[in-house]
Amino acid sequence: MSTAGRTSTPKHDIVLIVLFVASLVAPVIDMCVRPMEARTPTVELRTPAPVPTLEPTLESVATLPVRVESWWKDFFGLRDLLIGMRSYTYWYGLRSSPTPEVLRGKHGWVFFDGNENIACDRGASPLSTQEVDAWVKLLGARRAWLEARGIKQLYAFVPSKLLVYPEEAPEWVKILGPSRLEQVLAKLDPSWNADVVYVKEGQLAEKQADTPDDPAWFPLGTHFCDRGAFRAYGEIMAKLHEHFPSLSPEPKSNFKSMPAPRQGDTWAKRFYLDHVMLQSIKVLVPTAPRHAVALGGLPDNPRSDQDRLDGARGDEPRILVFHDSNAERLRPFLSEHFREVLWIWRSDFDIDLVESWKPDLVLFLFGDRFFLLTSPTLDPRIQDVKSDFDAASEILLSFDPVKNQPPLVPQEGALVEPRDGATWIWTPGASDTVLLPRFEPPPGKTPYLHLSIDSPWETDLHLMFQTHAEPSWARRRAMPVGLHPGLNEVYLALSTPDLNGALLLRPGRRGGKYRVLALELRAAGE
Amino acid sequence: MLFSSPIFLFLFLPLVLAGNFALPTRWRNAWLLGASLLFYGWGEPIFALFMLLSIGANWVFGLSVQRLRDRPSRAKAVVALAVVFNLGLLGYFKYADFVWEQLGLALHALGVIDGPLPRAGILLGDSEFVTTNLITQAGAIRLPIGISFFTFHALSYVIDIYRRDSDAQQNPVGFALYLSLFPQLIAGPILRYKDIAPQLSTRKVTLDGFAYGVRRFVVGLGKKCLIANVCFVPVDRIFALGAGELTTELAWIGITCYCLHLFYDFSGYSDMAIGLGHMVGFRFRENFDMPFVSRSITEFWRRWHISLSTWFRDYLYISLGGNRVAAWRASFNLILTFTLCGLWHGASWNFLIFGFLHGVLLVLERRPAFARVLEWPVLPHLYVLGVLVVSWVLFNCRDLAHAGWFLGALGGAGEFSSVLHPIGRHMQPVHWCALVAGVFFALPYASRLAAWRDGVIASSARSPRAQALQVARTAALFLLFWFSAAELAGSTFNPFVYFRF
Repeated sequence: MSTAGRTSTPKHDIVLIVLFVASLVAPVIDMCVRPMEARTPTVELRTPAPVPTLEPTLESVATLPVRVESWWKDFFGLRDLLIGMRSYTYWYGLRSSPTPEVLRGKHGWVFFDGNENIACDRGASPLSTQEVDAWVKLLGARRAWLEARGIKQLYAFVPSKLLVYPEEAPEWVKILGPSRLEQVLAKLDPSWNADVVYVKEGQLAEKQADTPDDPAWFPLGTHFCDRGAFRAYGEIMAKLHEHFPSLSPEPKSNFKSMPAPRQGDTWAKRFYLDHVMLQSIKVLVPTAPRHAVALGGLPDNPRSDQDRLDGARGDEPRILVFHDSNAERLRPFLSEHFREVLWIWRSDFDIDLVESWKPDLVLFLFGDRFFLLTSPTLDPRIQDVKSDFDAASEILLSFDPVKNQPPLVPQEGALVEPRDGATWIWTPGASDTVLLPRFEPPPGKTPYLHLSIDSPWETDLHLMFQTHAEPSWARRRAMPVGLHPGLNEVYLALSTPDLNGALLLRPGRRGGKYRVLALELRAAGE
Repeated sequence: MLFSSPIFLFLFLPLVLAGNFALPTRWRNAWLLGASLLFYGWGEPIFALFMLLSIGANWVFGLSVQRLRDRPSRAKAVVALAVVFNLGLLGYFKYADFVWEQLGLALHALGVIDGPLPRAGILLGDSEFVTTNLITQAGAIRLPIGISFFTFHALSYVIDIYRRDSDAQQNPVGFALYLSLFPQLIAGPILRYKDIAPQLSTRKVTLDGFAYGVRRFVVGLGKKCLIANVCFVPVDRIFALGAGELTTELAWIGITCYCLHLFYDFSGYSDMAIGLGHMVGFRFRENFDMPFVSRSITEFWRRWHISLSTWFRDYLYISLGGNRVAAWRASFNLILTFTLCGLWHGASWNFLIFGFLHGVLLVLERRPAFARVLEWPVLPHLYVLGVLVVSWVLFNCRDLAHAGWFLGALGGAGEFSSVLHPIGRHMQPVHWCALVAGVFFALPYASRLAAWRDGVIASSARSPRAQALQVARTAALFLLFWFSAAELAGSTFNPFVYFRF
């Protein structure tokens, strides 16, 4: 039996108890004193859990503890200070990263490692030959589809920070081979020369001009600063000039380099250390008047933005840009050259948008991570997966949406409910998913999936899969598909070898109610 | 709910403590019972009803056994019924899937059926209630959290009454509290009714008892948050590596971190449970006593999860005849007891082999020749550590095949090249710090230091040195609490790269 032998005086016991009780109630006191907004986890760039409410239903009562706990985890008192204290201890005391999302490099430089980004960058997680071939096939099919409609295209790729600043990475990070992007680029034939630009060499050259207060890339962030962006802009414009000879980049003399008034791209805020962890950077401030006007996004597309040229001549091209975060610093430079620019932050190719907007050129502007986060999945109207599915005879999984059988199983905060002849999936946020019923992948055959899903908005669906070699969920084993508001018929070929049969569905980046009307898996081929 | 969660630490615990002290003594059992049921049903409310069923049935069993004490055969029958009921529930929830799967494999091997049997949970039907509450997506039966612990509490209760070690609890609230008392509900230590019975009716929270509870709780929280959880980060990644990726050095780092994770996770939980018990007036058995200093597996089980090994000794091994039978039968009893002890940890061949291995080693250690070897210097420690490494590889691997190649990697058959998975990829400085701290505090030095400090305080509590030591200890505990709380907050820290990406 545990005993409380007298090893302290009553005075010290009282002090200890008072400190302990005060510590237990300190967060609640903080919640009473500071407003909720002061403690919100939005600096982590995610949607916080909603305030739990109680409805007079059994489901609401049964799920209340989970919802209360989710909310409490996001808003309990002193949370921000505690995370800041932990981050400080990790970063400065233990020289470690407080989150697996980034690595702490030499001199405190940040390198992004979400989804095992570093393994991809250093060539430790290469694409297989089949995957490279699938990418080349996809890019070719997409180019043919665009050419048939008289639309030009340009792929502009930005290297990862590691490939520009390998000397700042942790000692153990050694470049073993080409990144996934470099693998695909090496496989493209010379006919692609006018349609692809990889700005790595320019960034390496730009790095030579670095000074402690003017790096080309953000030391605490994962993107280029204005100076690096301007260099990339010049290279992209040079390629665009081949398509539109009237286009030429602005001279650098149109800009003045000045110390940045804000910190820009930095993980410090996400570490709750924005007052402590600082970086010196410069921005390029235009000296000549700007003409691009931001018009806001499309009404039904929260991930869109439009720019229009004020006082355009009328012969400037209109371009549609599918992009990732690398576009943010390029946008102010690029938008000055086009009558209209529609910026779409998504990694897949929205052919409906291309057809309805009819751009002169589609610019794909992505970082190395593009080949880590996406699979070579084509819209079925470009690559006819539907025909393959229809032709497949072996049924691997047949789902009954009326009864939700075999069941879709909600993960995290998602809810699943069969109702009104369909199975409804309710997701509070982007991290909520449902497990699909497991299936047995037949050896040597390709499984094809058909999903009929009603989406409340324009968003991306992700189907994640596992392999026997990697039985875990990772973004690099995910297939994205764009969803439109209303009913979507999704067809996907699960052509990755070694599938173990586990599938996870994220209906959309945005939380909401999604309705599944059909789900079937078939296999074909030998 | 878990002790190491912000909602427990900063909401549940202060409310429970406040209620416990604000209410009159006679209401405290009811208050703690309500809190315990809320604690248990927090994640899965359906299983709180299951807990109430177990409470009701075992309370009736206890009263019946007491009433039939003068008619031993009938009392024995009720005990048998209670054993069947409790082990039946445990067997159903914990082992039915495994047994069913093995049955399917055997029938398949014999050519009786073409393929594997469907998962056992499918037999319950496909109603919404079943699919949402009782089975997993894969059709497996869902396991009520802590069932292995409260089943053993219930068995100890009925058997103690039968053995006249204690009387049945007449008050259903008192009995329900014994079975569901939240500090020990989901991870022990395993209670004996005879130990707790007097405390259910009379217990006192003293100043030094509460302070002791605070100290144990904070130390346990620190063990869990600052060592166990941090050590688990590389474990998770290293054990997920494929056969062609695992290097020998990574395998050793992985298993060392896993040993430390297991010890600090479990002993940290026990410390927190014991500390919480003290805060509300209960005294629980110690569960760990520096197991890594053991010189034999026999000694290890006297130091590791003590409440489990003594439970098996008192309620199974002794019931089978213990040592008072022929030597071969005693050996058989020992192996059987430890095989079942292994199976208690989980339903898989890995655990069965783990238990069997330990049972066999315990039998061997009784041999005079082996016992003499165990008196040598150094070697016995290496022997124990070697056995533990093998055992815990079995514990953490997915299946025997995984365990097989992991053990191969430990033995030097790992991937030769470490370029794909250099150590730095899995071990940041923070993980090395946790590993070093874990090793240090698992050795006797820290407890010797604590014993010296306690000796100084006990001999002259008001001397300047004793005062300084007490201040230092309080300050250290205060820091330990807040660093642990920061780690807890860190577990809720989930930064995304891009909001819109």
